Parts: sequence; C-alpha cells; structure tokens
Amino acid sequence: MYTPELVQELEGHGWLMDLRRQAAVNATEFSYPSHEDEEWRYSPIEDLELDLFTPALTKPQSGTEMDHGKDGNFHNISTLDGFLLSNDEVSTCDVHSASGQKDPIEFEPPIDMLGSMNLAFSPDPVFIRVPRGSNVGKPLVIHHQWNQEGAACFPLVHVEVEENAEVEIVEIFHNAEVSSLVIPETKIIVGNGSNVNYQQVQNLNQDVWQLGTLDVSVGQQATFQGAIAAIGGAYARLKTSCSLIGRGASGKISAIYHGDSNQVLDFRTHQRHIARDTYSELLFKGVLDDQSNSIYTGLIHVANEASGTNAFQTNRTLKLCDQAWAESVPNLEIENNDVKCSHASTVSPVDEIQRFYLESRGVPTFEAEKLIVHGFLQEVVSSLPVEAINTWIADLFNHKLNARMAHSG
Amino acid sequence: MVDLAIKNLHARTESAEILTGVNLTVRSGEVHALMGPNGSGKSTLSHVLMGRPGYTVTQGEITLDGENLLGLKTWERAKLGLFLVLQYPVEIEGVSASKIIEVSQLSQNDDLSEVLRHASQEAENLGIPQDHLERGVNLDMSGGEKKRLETLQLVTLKPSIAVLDELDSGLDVDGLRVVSNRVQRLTEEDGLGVLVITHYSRLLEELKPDYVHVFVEGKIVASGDSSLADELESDGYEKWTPSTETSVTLGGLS
Repeated sequence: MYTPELVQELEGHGWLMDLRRQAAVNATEFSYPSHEDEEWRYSPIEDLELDLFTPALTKPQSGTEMDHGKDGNFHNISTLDGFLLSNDEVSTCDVHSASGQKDPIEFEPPIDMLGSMNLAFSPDPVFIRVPRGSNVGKPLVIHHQWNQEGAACFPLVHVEVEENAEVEIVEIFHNAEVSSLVIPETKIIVGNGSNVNYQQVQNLNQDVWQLGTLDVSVGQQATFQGAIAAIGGAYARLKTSCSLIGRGASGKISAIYHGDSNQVLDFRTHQRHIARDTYSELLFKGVLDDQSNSIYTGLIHVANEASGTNAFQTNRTLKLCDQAWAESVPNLEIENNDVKCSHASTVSPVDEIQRFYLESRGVPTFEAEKLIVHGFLQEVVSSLPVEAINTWIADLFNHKLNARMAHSG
Repeated sequence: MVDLAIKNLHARTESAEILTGVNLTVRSGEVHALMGPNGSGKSTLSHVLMGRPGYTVTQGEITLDGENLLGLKTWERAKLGLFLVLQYPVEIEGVSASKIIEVSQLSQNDDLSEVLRHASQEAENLGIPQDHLERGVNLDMSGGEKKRLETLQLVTLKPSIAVLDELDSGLDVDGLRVVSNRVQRLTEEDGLGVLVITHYSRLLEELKPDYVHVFVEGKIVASGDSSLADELESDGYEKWTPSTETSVTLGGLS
C-alpha cells in the first residue's frame, strides 16, 4: 500500500520527489514497531493494520470551518488531510509548503519507519522560518484537520527559528467524525538566544489513531516552553524529544491529558542534555476515567559534556475509575557528576479524604470530584505557554469533565 | 430550634466496634463539650455523624431536625445543616476555600457575590490573609492557619449544628481566643449548636460549654456542667476508665 510508486501521485519538484521516494523505500526497510521495543512497550501498536488506511494523496476542495482561532488574534494556517489549505500573510516570518519550492531544503533523514512514512507521504510539508531578530507577535495557529474516512494522513511541520527571535506556535489536531490514521511530525529548531512557546492540542475523535512525534532542539541561551493537551484519539501517541544543544539552553515541557472509555494515551519523552549548563523541566499530569489507559515513559539523558545540568521530570496520573490503568516509567541516564536531576511518578485514585472533606462543606460528590480533578490539573493549566488560548484549552477539559457528569447521571 | 439527636449509636470499622451506644442531643444555641482519653472514639463519632465512608452503623439513629441522617451522603448531611471541622484539615491542591464556598453555595438561593464578600470580611475578622482564601485549601499553612480557615468556612456556610473536632489543636493562645470567640458569637447570635471535641479545657475557657460529657470506650459515661471539665482537668480520666473501676472494687474488698 505505502509503496515508493504511490509517491508519484503527490506534487513537488524533483528534489522533494527524490526525497520522498527514498523515504518510502527506507520505510519498508525499517523494522515494524513492536511492543517488545522499549519505546513501544505497553502500547497496542500490534493491533494497527496499516493497510486498512489509504494515504490521502489528492487535495480536498474545502474543509469545514475551524471552531477556534478564526479571529484577528492569530496568524492562521490550515491543513486538511495533510494538504496546506490556507495561510494568513505574515510579514514577520515565512510560511510555505515545501512542495511548491524549487530549491532543495535540507531534511534530516528520518530514523524510523513512521518518520520515513511521514516524509514520503506528506503532501505539503509546511515550512516556517522565523528570521533572525524577528518577533512574530500574534501566535501562529496551525489547524490540522482530516475529513476522509479511512485515510492515512501525514502532517509535517518544520519550524526554524533563527537567532534572537521570538514566536508562539499552536498546533491543533482535530477531525470530522471519521476513522483515520494520523502520523504527524513536528520539528522545531530554536536558534541561539531565541524564545519559542509551543502548544499542541490533540482534540481528535475517538476513532482516530495518532502516532505523533515532536522533536525540538534548543540552542545556546535559548528557551523552549512547550505543552501538550491531549483529549481525543483511540490510541494517541506522542513521542517528544527536547535536545538542549547549546550552552545555557532551557526546555520546559508540560502536558495535561484526560482519557475516557477505551482510549489509550501514550507519551514518550526524552530530555537530552547535550551542552553545559542546560535546564529541563517536565511535568505531565493526566486524568483517566472508565477503562482508559495512559502510558508514560520518560528518559532524562545527560551527556558526558553536559556539566551543570538541571533536569526534572514528573508524571502524575489521577484515576477516576478502578478500571482505568496507567503505566508510568521515569528513567535517568547520567554520564556526568555535576548535575541536579530528579524524577517522580505517581498513579493514584481520587483521594477519599479529600472528597469527604469537600462533601462535608456541602459540595455534592460529583462536584467534589470535579473540583479535585480541576485542582489537580490546575498546576499545568495555569502555566500553559500560549496564553491567548489557555481559556479555550481549560474549557475543552471542563467540557469533557462535564460530559462525564451528564453521562454518569 | 434545631436539634441533632443521637440515640444508642453503635458503629464499627471492619476490624472493631468503636461506638458502643452513644446518646446525645445537641440543640440550637447549646455548646456541648465531649472530652475523653485518646482512642476513646471521639473522632470516630464526628466522622460517623458526617457519614465518612469506612464506618458501618450497626445500631441506633442520628437525626437532624427530625430527618434521619443515616443513609444520606455526606454532602446531603451538610446541606441539611451539619458541619464538621476535621482534626486535621485536608490539603487539596488547586482548590481554594473561596471555590469550595462558591460551589457549596451554588444550589442555594444566596447571592454568591454577597457570600464571597462575607467570606472576605470574615477573613479579616479572623486574622486570615486574603490570599489564603484563593490558594489551594490548607496547603502550606500552619496548624493554626488551617483552623482559622476552617472557622471561616463554618461562619460562611452557616450550618445549624457544628461538630468541632479538636478545633484547638495547632492554634496558639491568640488564635484560640479569636476562633472560639467567633464560634461563641455564632451560638449566641445565630443559634448555632456546637459539639466540641477536645482533650483540654483550655478551649473551654474561651468557648463556654453548657454541657460537658465524658467519652470513654465509645460512649458517654458521664455528663455534667462546665465544672466537670475542671474536674477532668485536675483529675484526668482515670476515674472513668474501666481498669480504674476494677482497682476501686479490689480496694473495697481489701
């Protein structure tokens, strides 16, 4: 199904077509993910039947209106089934599709099957370049949407932030009521002295499989503040890697998630300290209802050269139901002695005494649980990096929590 | 006039019977002090009254203003007018005292902004910094600060009967005075009925009890007026504990 020949149906100049063909060949040569691999452990990856999905190769005519961001406070970029549909004119940075570009762009060769498939079948790799010294101002909001039943979609976003620049980026993943497979890749390069705030919102329907990657590298004295809000998906996975490659680089990553019914939310994180005096902080907090599952495995890796590293990693999951299940595996790999690292992980049910306390104040049981969940997530919600959409994200989570109330009657 | 009536109350945990026949009626405006040695079941009584999971009532009844509380959920008991100050107020991240008051009052007809204004005013009266109302309830607060905040919720939520489980623990002398004077005023002005559980009579110098009960091995073994508290303060509980009774009998024989 995902053959190099199929790539021919996409548009692009020679260099891109060559790259895609090569990636399609590579994809067939990489081994298929197996739950025996550490990075797929606990996942249902072997239930995935790739051939049930067809790559989306023709540009759709139009999409439905997005539910958020269509006002003047954002620079909007829309993709549909992986195709770049529209993008606002932005004077402070450059946004374009690689498929329209004559001159070759350098891509790092993908290191696994999914990355290769993404590069091979992404119809419009979106390139964003923030020039040196530029401040983009309003957040760039990338709406990824897919409408085709049974489609496999491959959104690819490549952001290069040059030196001493500033930008806020939001990626929103959502779709119509279709069953599909999404393999998105986002790569962000934060240049020396730059500041990037990034927010990803995964609000897919519960028939979608997502196998996503977020790969960030942070340069000297630069900062990256990223957050993930995950609500949807049948099996929704995001592998996040944050590499601190320049001295004094800092990377903060947080996540909130809420699973229900049979959802599986899967997070793999990698904090890579490569340069000296680097700082990373990770805080993932989630709530699980019904029979939903979450998987968190995280690694802090401190290279031999990375003295003066500070690295922190915390994952906490709150179970609203006995049937919910969470796996949380933090790991440290430290090759230098001059470091300060910590990791912590908890999986716990709603605290009975907290609920009793709230009820003793006249707060009904369900409201008490809602307050506890809300309070639990607040630590992350209150410091999400792109302020302009924080209320919207908080509302998404409240909505899911309220739906639970309606559901449990 | 409202009353909390406890009749022949027996309750147990999975492993042991803790309450062994409690009889007590607390009416509006009355202050009852329940005193007893460690492990006598005083806190258990407060939890059973409020319906904390983990206890089974095997006999007896609890009514509030004639309504049977057994079988009601904790919050339903609270809505009927029962309030409990826990010995160890619970910390909850991201849930502020203001929010608790707000959600608790949502279904009431009260004007919410008025309720919150009242809370803010009471905070000042009770010597509570305003930010304590807005941050995670009881988090990073001293024992005394927690008890002040508990009192604030008591005053704001206006129950008819309050059970105060060791309100005094954690409070310094000044705090104790402020808090107990406020509760005393509630009994006088709003007719609050109070069951105060304590080890020491220090609290009772500030919050004057109409009745003092001695609680031993899961039930009230003696009742009296405030002079009983003084007696307990000087003589302890020895007289009321079963092992002492035995020695008295033996002494009689010899």
